[in-house]
Amino acid sequence: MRVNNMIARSFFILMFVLQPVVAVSAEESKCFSPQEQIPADSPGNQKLHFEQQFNVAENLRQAAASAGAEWLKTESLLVRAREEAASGNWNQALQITAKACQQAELALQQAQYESEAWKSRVIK
Amino acid sequence: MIKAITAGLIFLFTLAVHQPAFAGPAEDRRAFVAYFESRFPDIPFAEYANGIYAIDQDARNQWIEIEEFPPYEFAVEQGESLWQETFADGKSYSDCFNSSEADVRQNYPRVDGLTGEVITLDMAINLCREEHGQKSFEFGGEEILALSAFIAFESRGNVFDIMVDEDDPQALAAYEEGKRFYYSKRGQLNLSCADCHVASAGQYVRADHLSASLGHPTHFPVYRSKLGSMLSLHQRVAGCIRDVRAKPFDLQSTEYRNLEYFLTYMSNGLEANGPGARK
Repeated sequence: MRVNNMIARSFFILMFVLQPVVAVSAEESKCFSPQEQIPADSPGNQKLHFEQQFNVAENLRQAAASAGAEWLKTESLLVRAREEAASGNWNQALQITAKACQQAELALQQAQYESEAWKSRVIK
Repeated sequence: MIKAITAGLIFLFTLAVHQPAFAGPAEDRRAFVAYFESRFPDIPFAEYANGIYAIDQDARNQWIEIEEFPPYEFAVEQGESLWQETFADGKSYSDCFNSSEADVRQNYPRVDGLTGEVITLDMAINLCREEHGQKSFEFGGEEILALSAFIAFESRGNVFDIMVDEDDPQALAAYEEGKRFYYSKRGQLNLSCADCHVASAGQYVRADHLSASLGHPTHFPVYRSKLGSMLSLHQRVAGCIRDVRAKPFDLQSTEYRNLEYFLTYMSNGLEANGPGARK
């Protein structure tokens, strides 16, 4: 009985500890707003800001691809974003990245929904 | 407590594992055929092998004219030359297929007993080449399309009778995956194969009618007039996937092979009538 109580207590403590970690991970994988502008400070910060957002988008794209649900233009949008960034067009690069990120996020939502929804469409 | 956690984990694991959706393959096929028979009561079952020409009379009239000088004839001739090729070890394609070219098309796709993978005709051609020390053909390339066009031409009139052994978990899993792919919405337009070729079959998409899925695989490969070349079933599927703005899979990918397995099983009882001619 005592062992069971210990397991239960450990489980709740673990959940309590993990909660903020899970919340942070979810926050990190969220796409940013397409209206977001690159902070007008040093070029180093602009690059860093773009890279952070680009990585979020690229990770989501890869997750969608792994689920077999990637949309047609997501990858090419990211290629374009990278080209714009290379030319120093940070805001343009960021807007294209935001578009790609939203596509990847929606593709993942679609895959998640379809994992069960398809069954209702089978001809009976 | 431990029992409760274990039971919870087992429940979650069960949810995670793919479960066959509702009915078995035979029941699925009966319902699939019945749907189209009820939807298009004037179309005889055998006509579905002609794809859109079973539904669209104007397109059918054009197709009949086109068939007077079949545009796939050159591919069939090239395929015949390739079929007669003797490999470096003295063997040929007929050794791999254990039959004449006239007895092949309707047997594909099938599930390999060892690997559990769906083997399509194009894949079987390349496996044959590899087994006899030949370089594989590029999927979607001129040679493999010509060879499959010749095999399809010689196999005309034979009836598809694809097996899905319900006691073989690998065959059943491949079938279920193909079925899942067929009914799943994908891409930016959020459309499934079934949305266009079941629910909207016979209706217009721009200036063309949408074909019925029943009979889709029977006439491939086809000569596509707009491309001026032959086209495999997987290339056509990739075109549809692109049209709904999803990223297409590789030709002969597991996804497309499983889909072909499902679709061809649905078309059992129809004659092999490839190669076809399409707009």
